[in-house]
Amino acid sequence: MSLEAIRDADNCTVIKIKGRFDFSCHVAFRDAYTGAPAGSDFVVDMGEASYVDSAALGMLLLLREHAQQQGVRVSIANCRGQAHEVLQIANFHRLFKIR
Amino acid sequence: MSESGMRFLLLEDSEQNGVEIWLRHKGFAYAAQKSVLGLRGLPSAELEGAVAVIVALSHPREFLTAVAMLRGTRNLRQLPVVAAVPANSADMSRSLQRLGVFLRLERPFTDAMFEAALEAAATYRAATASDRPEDGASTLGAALREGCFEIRSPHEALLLAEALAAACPDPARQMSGIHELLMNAIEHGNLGLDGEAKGQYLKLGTWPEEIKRRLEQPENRDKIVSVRLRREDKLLTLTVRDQGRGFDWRKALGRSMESISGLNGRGLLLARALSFDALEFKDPGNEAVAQICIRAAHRSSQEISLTAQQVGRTIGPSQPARPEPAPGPTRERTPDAPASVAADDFGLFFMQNRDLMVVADERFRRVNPAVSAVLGWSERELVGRPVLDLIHPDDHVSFADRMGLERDRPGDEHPPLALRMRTSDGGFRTIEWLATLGPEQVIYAVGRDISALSYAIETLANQNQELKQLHTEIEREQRLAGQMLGAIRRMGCLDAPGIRYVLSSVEYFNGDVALAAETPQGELRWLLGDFTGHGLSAAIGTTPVASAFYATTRKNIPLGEVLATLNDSLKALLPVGLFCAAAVLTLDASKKVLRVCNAGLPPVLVRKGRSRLVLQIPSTAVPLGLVPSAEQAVKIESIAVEEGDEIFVYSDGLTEISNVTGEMFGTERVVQALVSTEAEGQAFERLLGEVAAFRGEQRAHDDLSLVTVSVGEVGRRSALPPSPAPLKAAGSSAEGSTR
Repeated sequence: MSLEAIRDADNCTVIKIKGRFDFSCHVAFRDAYTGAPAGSDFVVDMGEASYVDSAALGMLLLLREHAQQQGVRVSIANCRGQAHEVLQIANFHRLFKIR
Repeated sequence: MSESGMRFLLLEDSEQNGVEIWLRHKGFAYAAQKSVLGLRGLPSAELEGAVAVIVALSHPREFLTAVAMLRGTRNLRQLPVVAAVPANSADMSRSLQRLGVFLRLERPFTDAMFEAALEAAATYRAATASDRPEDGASTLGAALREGCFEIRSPHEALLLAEALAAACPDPARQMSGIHELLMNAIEHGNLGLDGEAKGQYLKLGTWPEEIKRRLEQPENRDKIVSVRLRREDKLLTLTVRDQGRGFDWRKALGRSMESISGLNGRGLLLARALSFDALEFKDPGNEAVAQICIRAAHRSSQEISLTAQQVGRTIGPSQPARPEPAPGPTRERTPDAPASVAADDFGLFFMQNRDLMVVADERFRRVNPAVSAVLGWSERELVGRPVLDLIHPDDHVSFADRMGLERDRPGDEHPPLALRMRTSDGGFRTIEWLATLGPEQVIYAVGRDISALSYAIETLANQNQELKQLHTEIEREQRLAGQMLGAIRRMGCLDAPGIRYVLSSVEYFNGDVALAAETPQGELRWLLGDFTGHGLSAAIGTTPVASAFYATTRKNIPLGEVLATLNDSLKALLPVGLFCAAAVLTLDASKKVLRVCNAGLPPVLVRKGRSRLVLQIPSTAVPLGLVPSAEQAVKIESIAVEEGDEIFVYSDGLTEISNVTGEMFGTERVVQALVSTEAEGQAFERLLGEVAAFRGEQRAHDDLSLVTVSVGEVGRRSALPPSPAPLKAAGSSAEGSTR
């Protein structure tokens, strides 16, 4: 699992997950969004995430709460394969903008 | 030009000197080594036909030592030595000449010169092929009884060393040692340069200038080194006194060669090993006393004798005031001189080895410098001391046992024995010994300091123990929690006929919760919940979920409201990030209508008994505990069912089971298993069988959860006990009947 956080052209913080998105990402993921500059929206890029489990869903929820407190938005991008399926079963499109 | 059969031996320590490359280029046959020890170690086949030894070392000082060693080696001494010396080493020439170097070539020299030198050496060798017996001590040596000298400078030191060496039984060997003592006295003693400073100047290349500078300082101008050589019948004693403050000579002489990593520091050790039979200093360290035994004339002096251990303890007459020296691997023993370990390579091996080497009976007889380095005792403090003195009392028994074993079964291989050995500063170090029993019950042992290793092993073992205990505690707690979960489950009717299940959390409080109960009107309700965060949220959430489930069932609350109740109580309880994916299902009393609300589980499957078609009811809601019910519209599916139909609810533990290649089981395979089952009532086993086959190992289904309700069977059973009251007090539960 690797994770990187970058600023994109629209001043969004893009958190890109590579590999397994599971509990082992916990600390890195939290550091990624708590360390982001205030006022920037978040995009979670799942394009290279090979596997997503319920712990990952929990992490996304924590990010959602953080974003709500900061007054910014969160969206999830490039869901494919297993990640897409898990998010679908959990109906997370009701909680996140998924594109 | 190379003649077949003619070979050269080359002593070169760095490719940059270029001699090996040159020899290869010109087509000469040669055998190259980086050290004299290496040359001595060459098999006789390689020495056959050798006509000369070329010495091409990088540091001038090393030439003297190397050549001395060559001259001291029996099968090499008759070969002429061609020394390719660095530029500006004229001061070495006299010494080299004295040592019997055949030709000295100072760099830079041309190809032609070098070739000519080799040719000359070869011719010389041919002319002098028969071994020449060595002369005895020179005239000066025979005549000298006592001499006193005073010197100041390195140049004088060199000249004096040559002269004194001539008086020694084996000038080639003693020259370098005498020179070392004199230089030591000048540099370290009179001029106050310690080893570290010397190292710095050597690195900068300004060592000779620094010496000169210091010699000319007013406070050093009048300092002298006084040297006395006294010769008695069998013993030569050399005393070198400087006007310095002395140094920690015990430490310097107590080191092993291996332990010295810098440019300097080996001189005294080498001197003691090569040149002298004994070397000591008088405190505070500004007077060196070296002794050389004069052996009977017929005895060849090529072997490097190692007698420092015994003789070094006494200064004075050659009779050591200590008990009989232990027998060792000696070749000859002259009656007056102490026994010596006469072995060319073993002597140096003994001295240089980083491992501890000990010869002992019930007392220490011989110890190598590594013993001092590791345990701190000086040689003097050990030789003659009882061995048991140094062994930890708790290890005495194992030591005695091993000695007994060695005695009774000599020649058997025994594994190494670890013993705690006392150090001079009051502690212990663990040494692992390999020993053999020699003649007359003498032990020859080699030891390795494994203190660090055994400490690490012990620490690991302790940590392991701790971990095991923690693990056991966690297991116990989980089991207790699992029992509670089981009690909650048994309050309902999950074990009724028509319902089959496998739960990942049967034994432990591990995440999945399955409940079933019947309304007073005879409607069956069941629920499968998969808590994220396993133990923690399951522990927090299970009780309120069960309580709400049983309560709403007893009161026949409509399904939508049941979901809302469950959802809101979990939302209130669980921290952000924890939730429960769940499905709640109802089957009405007439067994005709199935209602499903799937909030976050994989698709609920209905297998139609007649057509074997499988209907899928996917999740249409966010898992429980995330979003307030007011904000979420809950979708409830209604399906017509009949006898023979089976309903499958499972968590993602099942679909995420992977095989050896990492592929996941997935919903499709679940559907496939159900479709391909032929007989009624077999689907449950069929599915589990497919999972096992897919996974490829014989593993229990302890990580998947699956609940199957058989519409026909459930309808057939007799009336179930009513749904229990909400969980308040223990002991009032109704036991579900077993299948």
